[in-house]
Amino acid sequence: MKKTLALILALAMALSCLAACGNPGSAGSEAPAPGTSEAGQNNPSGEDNGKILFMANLNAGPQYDAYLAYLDMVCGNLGYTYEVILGDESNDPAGNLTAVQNAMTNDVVGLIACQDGGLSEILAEYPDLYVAGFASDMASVYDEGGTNASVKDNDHFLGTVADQYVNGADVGQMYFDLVVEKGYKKVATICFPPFAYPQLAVADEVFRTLVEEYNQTADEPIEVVGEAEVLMFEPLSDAYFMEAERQDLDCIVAPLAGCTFVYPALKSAIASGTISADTKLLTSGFENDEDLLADFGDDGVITAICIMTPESILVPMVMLDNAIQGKPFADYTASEAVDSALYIIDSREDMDRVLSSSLLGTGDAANTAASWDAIQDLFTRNNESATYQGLKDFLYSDALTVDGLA
Amino acid sequence: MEGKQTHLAWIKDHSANLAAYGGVVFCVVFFTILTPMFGESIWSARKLETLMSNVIVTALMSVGAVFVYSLGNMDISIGRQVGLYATIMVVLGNSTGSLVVPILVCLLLSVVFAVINGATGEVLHIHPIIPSLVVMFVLTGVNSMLFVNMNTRNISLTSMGHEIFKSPILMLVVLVAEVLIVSYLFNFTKYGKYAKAIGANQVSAQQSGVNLIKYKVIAYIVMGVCVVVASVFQMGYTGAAADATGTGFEMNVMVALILGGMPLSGGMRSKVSCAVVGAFTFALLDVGLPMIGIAARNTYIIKAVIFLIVVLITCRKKDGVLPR
Repeated sequence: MKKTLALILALAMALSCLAACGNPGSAGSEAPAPGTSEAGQNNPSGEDNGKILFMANLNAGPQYDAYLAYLDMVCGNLGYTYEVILGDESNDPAGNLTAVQNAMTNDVVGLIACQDGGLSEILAEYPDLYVAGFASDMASVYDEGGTNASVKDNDHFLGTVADQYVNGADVGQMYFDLVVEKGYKKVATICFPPFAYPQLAVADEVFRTLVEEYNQTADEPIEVVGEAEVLMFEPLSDAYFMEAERQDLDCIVAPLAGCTFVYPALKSAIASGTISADTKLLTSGFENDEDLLADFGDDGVITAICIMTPESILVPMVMLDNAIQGKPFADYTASEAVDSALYIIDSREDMDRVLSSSLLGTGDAANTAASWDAIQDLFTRNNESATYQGLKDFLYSDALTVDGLA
Repeated sequence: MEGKQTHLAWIKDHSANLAAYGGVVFCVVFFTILTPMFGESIWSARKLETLMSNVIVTALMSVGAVFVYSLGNMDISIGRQVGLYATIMVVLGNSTGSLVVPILVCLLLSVVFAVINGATGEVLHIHPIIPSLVVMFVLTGVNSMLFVNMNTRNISLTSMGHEIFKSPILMLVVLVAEVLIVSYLFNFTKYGKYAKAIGANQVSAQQSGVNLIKYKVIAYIVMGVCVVVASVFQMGYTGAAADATGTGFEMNVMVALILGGMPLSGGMRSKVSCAVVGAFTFALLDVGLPMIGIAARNTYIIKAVIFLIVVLITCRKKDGVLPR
């Protein structure tokens, strides 16, 4: 009896391992969300041009599903396979290098890196590998004296697309505009630590400067309560709301993954009556949790979400393919960090449109505004007169904004 | 009939060793045969380098940790110790132009941590894991403050080259040397014998005249020195340290030791070879599985299942007592 019980428990543990490693899929999505694509699978081109490694900084969620769905579509049409590898969760250089080393096989031709730790070592170890950044401003590459500054001029490094804006000043401006538009008068700000996200500190500073300027002429000034709360990569503590001055806020400005890091504590504080039920959240990040989505809009807790349009991953794919095919853009002269396409979702209507009609909301590449037909001429292999500027123009076109959704 | 029973008894007695050594042998044979069919042998120069770089830090730490695990203790601060030592080596290395001073400073610190972790539990009559938990929290805070003050998330060794630490030959030489030294200390000196005796039965060891505090602290010092050696390679491989360097390394050590057949309760069955076997098994899986077409992110499942099998063979209680 005991042995049978032990066997059952062992099997249950083994099955739980399998379940834990399975793919959770995405709500509202019928599209598969694989971590790899096999040659010949979803490969209309019939070509075999090698494998792209995608060193992601996420491993689940609607953004992640959207990236993979789009990679499936683009890689399939270009004749690449791709494989997701998980970089070091804290962006440790050795951890990222090890992740690349372990996944490196003879057919790997490119790397899309969402983390910059260890980039110079990766390029030194694999000098033939083309690398493009994504969802990261690659501060260690582009900041003066950064630990990966040598990568900037490496001709195998093809630039990066930041998660939203490269410059924190633009982030500060965006959230200031939202605060003014929504009419909030008492706000607090939350950031990640400046040593890890220096541009968030810039955003906070610019936001406060803009508020000061606004207050000089405004009938009703905006009050920014206290210094920015710095989250050390952990969710906001319930204790944050115990301070009296934070109990009647109009809104919290959190230009980070606030749906995960701020919303739970905020919602809990509202539910317990600790703070005003009218406290709102302006933030980034996107979750497809039904309760959270139901709490979005002017009647809910989250009134605006600013998030990178997932189709922005098109940029590293174009850059990699051009380089691998030996056909770089004629007007591409040096690597750079560029802003991503951006969804500013600030109304219930916007959210409904995103959920029903976008790649981000559905996880289905059939719903992308940047379909293969729309993008194929951005690649120099298909269009010899394609330009880098043309790629950026497409990235910042209305097609990749909320307004561009059907 | 009697001979058959003797064989069965031998297999039963040595099931932990068979599982551990059988696991690494199976991995070697399996990947030797299969990887060339997928285009590249796991024994190619490039993959051997990858294998060594995967294994070196965990193996160096695990070899030292055998001393502490043989006591029936564990130290969960070693990951954060690696982070702190790597940071010190980069900062002091850049300011002095040499790694000698920073390594000496790290060795000194390792002794301090060893005294805290090894003696506090015995003196205060608390479980020995608790002091290491406290040290881990303190070091996490210290490391975080250092990087906040430096206003960056990672720092590089710029005053000197670090390519030497990427040499797989150097890694192998250092690992072999460490294994030989620690094996000698563990098997042929009273430090190792008393450590095993304490792990097997602390009361008996004490009543036999073993100074528990002294030999526990010595065990932690041996591990601390090995952690410093591992930190040199951790930092040297990329010439960098980050605020998160070392995070989770204590778990890697635990997994390597368990995979190698180390009894978690310590005692006379503890062996230095457990560390090497376990670390290599884990690294072989890390490097080999992607080479045979298994996506890197899916290798966790296979490693989890193998870990489960080994644990069920090696770590189950017999007659209500953990193997020791």
